[in-house]
Amino acid sequence: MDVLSWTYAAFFALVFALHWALPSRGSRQALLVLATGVWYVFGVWWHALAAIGMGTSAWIVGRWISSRPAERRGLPTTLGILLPIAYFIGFRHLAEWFGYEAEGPDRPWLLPNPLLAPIGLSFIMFESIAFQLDLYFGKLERPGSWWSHMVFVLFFPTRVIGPMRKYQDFVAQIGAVERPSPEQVAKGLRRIGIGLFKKVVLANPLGTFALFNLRPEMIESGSSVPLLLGGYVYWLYLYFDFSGYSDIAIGTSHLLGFRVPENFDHPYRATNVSEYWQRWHMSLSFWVREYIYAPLAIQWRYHAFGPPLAACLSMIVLGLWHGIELRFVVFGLIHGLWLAAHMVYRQTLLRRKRVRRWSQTGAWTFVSWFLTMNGIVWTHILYATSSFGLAIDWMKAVLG
Amino acid sequence: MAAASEAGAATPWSWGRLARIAGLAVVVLLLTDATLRGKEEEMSRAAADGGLRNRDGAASADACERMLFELPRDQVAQAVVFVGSSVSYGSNLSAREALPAQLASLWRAEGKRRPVFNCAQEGGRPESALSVAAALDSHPVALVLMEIMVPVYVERSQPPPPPWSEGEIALLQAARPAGRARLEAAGLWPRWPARVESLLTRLVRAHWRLYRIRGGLWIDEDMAPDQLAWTARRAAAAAQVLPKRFHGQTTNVGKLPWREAYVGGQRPSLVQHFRVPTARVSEPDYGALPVLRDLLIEANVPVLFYEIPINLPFQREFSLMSEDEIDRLARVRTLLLERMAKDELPILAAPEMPDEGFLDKAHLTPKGAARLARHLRGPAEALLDTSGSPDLRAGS
Repeated sequence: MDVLSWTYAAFFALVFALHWALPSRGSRQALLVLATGVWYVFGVWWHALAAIGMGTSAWIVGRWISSRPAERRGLPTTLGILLPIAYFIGFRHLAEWFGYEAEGPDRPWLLPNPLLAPIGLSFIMFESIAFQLDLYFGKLERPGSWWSHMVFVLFFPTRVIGPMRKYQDFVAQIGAVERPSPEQVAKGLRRIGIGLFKKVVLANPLGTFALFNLRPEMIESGSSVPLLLGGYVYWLYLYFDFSGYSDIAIGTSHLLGFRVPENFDHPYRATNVSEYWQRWHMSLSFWVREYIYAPLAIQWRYHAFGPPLAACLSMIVLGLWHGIELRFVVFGLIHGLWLAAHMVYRQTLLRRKRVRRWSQTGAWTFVSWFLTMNGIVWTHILYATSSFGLAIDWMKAVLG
Repeated sequence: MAAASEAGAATPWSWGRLARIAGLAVVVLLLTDATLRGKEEEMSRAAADGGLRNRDGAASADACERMLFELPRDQVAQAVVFVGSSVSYGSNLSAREALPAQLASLWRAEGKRRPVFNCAQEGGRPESALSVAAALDSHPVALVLMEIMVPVYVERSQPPPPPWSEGEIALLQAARPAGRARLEAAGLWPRWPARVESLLTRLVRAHWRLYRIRGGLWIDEDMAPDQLAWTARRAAAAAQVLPKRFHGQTTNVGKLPWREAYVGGQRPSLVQHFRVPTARVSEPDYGALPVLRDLLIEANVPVLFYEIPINLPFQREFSLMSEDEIDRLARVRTLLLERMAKDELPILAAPEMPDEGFLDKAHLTPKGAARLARHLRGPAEALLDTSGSPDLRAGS
C-alpha cells in the first residue's frame, strides 16, 4: 500500500479512529498488529506471515538469550544475528540467484512469488540484530511480551522506509500511550503536511527530471550536461523523497501516540563526511555506529589503523544493507575510506594550531562544504544507476 | 515583531483551535472549487476539440477518463478517439498543435462539430490502448483511431510494461462482463488493491473539483525542471551568454524541425535511436491488437489503425540506425502489415512526411501533425459514414 494513496489515507484514518476508540492497551496492541497484517495483504499476502515469522523467531531467540547467564549468551546471540541475515539473503536474493522466473499473467494470486521480498525486510533485519545485541550486552534486560514484540516489528508507519527504531525505546512507549493531546495531533499533522510537500511538490518533479536524464540510454549517449544535471538533481530528489517519507512516518507515528527517531537533520549543511552521516539517514548511520563501528573500534583501539579500518568495514556493511551488489560495496568502500581519511586528518593535521585556526575561517568552511557535497553527489550516482558499470560510464561521460 | 512571534509560538493547541483550522481548510477548498467551475467548463469545451490530453508521462489516462465518463453521453457517442504513443499525444507540442486537435480543427473549418478526444499517452504501448477500448464497452464512441508505430512491434528484450495507473484502472473497470472476461483471459485485469485505490480515487474525483482538474496533484508540465532548464539554456544561447552551440539540443524539446534544432555540431541523444535487433514481430505487443479489436467489436465501435511515419533521414544523418537495422525495420513492417491484413485489422499506411514535419525520430512538428491529420481525415470520414469503405492500403 503506497503511502501516497487514497487507500492508505482511508486505512490510516480508520486505524487512527479505532486505535483511540479502543479502551485497553492490549486491544490497541492487537489492532496495530492486525492493521499491519492488512497493510501487508494489500501488497503481497504472505509478507504478513513472513514478517510475523521473522519477528517471532527474533523474540524466541531473545528470550533464550535473556534466560542464560551473561557468559553463556554467545551461541544464541550468534543465532539471533545470523537468522535475520539469512532471512534477508533468502528473501531478497535466493530466488534471483537460482534463476527463478518472474511472475507471468497466469500466475495464481495466492501462489507466493519468491522474487518479491517482504517490505521493510532490511529494517526488520537491523532492528532484530540490535535487539539481540542489546540483550547480549545487557542494555536490555529481557524481551517484553510477544504482542509488544509484534507491535515493534510490525509497526506499519515505519515499515517502508524507516526510521529504524530501538526496541527498548519503542516498547517502553506501548504501555505509556495516552489519549492524544491537541499538541500531539497538531505536531503529527504538521509533520505529515511537510512530508507531503517534500514528496509531491519537490521530490516528484525533481525525480522525473533526474531519472529521465540518468536512463541507461542517456548515459550511453554521453551527453555530459544532462547527465551532470541529472546527477545533482538526483541527490536533491533522493533527499526530498526520503525525508518526505520519513516526515510522513514520524507524523503518523505521532498520531498513534509513538515517538520515533528522526532520520534527517539538514544533510545539505554538512561540511565533512563525518558530519554528513550524522545528518543523513541518521537512524541507520547511528545503528551502524553503535553496533558495528563502536565494537570494532574498541576491539582494535590499540592498533594505529584500528578505528579507520572499523569505519571502512562499517560503511561497507551500510552499503551492503541496500543490496548485495558491487555498486553498493563500492559506495560503502568509498565512504569508508573517506571517513577514515577524515579521522586521520582530525587526529593529525587538525591538531596543529595553524590548521585549526584556518579550518575555522568562513572560506575554509565553504570549501569543505563544497567538496563534501560534490563528493556526496558523485558517490550517490552508484545508487542512481542500476549497475556499477553504468555509474562508471556516467563519470566518464561527465568528465569528457 | 519578535514579541508577536513569541506570542504566536506560545499559543497553545486545543481541540477547538484544531477544529477551527480544519473548518477553515474546508472553506478554502470549497471556495477554490467554486472558483474553478469556469475552468472546468472550459476544459470540457477543449476536450471536445482535441485540446485536452492526459497528464504528461507514461501510463496516465486521467484526461481520457474525464472525456469518456464526465462529458454528456450524446457528445461521447459522436466522438473520435485517438489512442497511441507520444507521437499522437503531441510531445513537445501544445495540446492545440497535437494531431487530434489538428483533425478536429480541419473538421471545424468545414463547419462540422465532431468531438475528437486525445487519449494517447506518452510512453503509450499497444497494451495501454486496451484500457480505453475496455471503457468504450460501456461508453461507446463513433470511431477509434489507433496509432501503429512499427518500431514498437519489433521483437526485442524490453522492460515489462508499467503497472496500470489509477486512470487506466478506472477505464478498465468500465468494461462490461464480456469485456472483463476477455481482459482476465489476457492476464490484464488489475488486482484488487489497485481496484480499491481506483474506487477511492473516483470517489474523491466526484466530489472535489480541484482534484478532478489536477488529477493526482501533479506539477504542471511547464514547471518541470527539464523544460525550464532547456528553455533557459536556449534563451542564454540566443542572448549570446552561452556559446551558440548550446542553442541546439540533445533532446529536441522545442518545436523546431530537426534540421534546425540540431545545429552547430549538436547531436541527438541515443534515446532517438530505434533499436531493431531482430526482423521479427513482437508477439506480446502484437497480441494486444486482436484483443483490442475484439473489445471494440463487443462495443460496436469501428477502429482505424494508422501508421506513424518514421524519420529515416534523421537516423541516417546522425548515424543512429545502421543500414542493417533499417533493412530489418522494413522487413518487420512488411510482416506486420501482412499479419494485420490477415487478422482483418484495417491499417492506413503512413503518408510521405517532409523534413520539416519531424521534430526528431518520429515526433511531429505542428506542421507534421497537420499533414498527418489531413491524411487521416478522408479514411476517418469514410468509416464514420458507414456506407463508405476506404481503400486503406492505397498509401505509400
